[in-house]
Amino acid sequence: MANELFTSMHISSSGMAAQRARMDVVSENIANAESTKTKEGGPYRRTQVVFETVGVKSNFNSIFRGQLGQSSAQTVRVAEISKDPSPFNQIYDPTHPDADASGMVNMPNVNTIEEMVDMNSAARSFEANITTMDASKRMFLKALELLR
Amino acid sequence: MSGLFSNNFAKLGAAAASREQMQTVISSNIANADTPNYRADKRTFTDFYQQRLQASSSVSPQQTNSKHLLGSNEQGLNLSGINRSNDAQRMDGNTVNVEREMSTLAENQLMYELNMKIIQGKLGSIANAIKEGGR
Repeated sequence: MANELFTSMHISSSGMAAQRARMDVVSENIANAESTKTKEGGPYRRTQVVFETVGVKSNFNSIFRGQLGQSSAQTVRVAEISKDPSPFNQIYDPTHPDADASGMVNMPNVNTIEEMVDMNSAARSFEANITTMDASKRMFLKALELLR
Repeated sequence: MSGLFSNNFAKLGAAAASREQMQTVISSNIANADTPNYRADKRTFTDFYQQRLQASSSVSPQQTNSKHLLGSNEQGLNLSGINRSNDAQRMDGNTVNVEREMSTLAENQLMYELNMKIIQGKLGSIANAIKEGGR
């Protein structure tokens, strides 16, 4: 714990990186909302990010405290990018090249409204992290003013 | 601590350091506002401040070798897992209340600035005394 304010800024930046990854995934989902062909075969499957907490430092002291059940500051990172296992949307379109014998086409299981909500949520969380980082920076500048 | 810098000065320093630690707790909670099953850290400024005052009044073991463990009593057992909030409000098990965190953030920042202003005033009066004495 060299400097708590630098630690705080480090945590905020990890939060921003995680939210940006989430935004990437949302845009991938929206862009592929109509893709019926993928490399793996079948229509596109919606992806989502899973976040996990990471201890802020990995020296002996912090691990020791973590084992004793003492709470210490946590950064965040993307644990995995998982596929949504829910069933595909089916539409009736016999003229579609991917239609089956009865004329049904499997479309991606992407719900654009859901993605929009997710996108807004990611943007707001990103802004919250920026505000925190800004606050830490201003506090640091105030401490520097003591030297004047 | 006596003489030029009074006991109050040490308290102001401890308060500033506690505000900085508080900032880490807040940013940790905000960064993890979307992490499933994250329990919000609900330690407050008072926890850190009292801990610092206790630590400054007790004797800490000396490190005579670089391989000695840091005998820090700045994070005692009183800050244990009970400081994790357990009142789940959301379906993903996350207990962070972003609105509350943001207001705590604003409060923390303003109080830190106030703290720094007071330190600045104290330093200014000491400097004034030194300058006037030289005349």
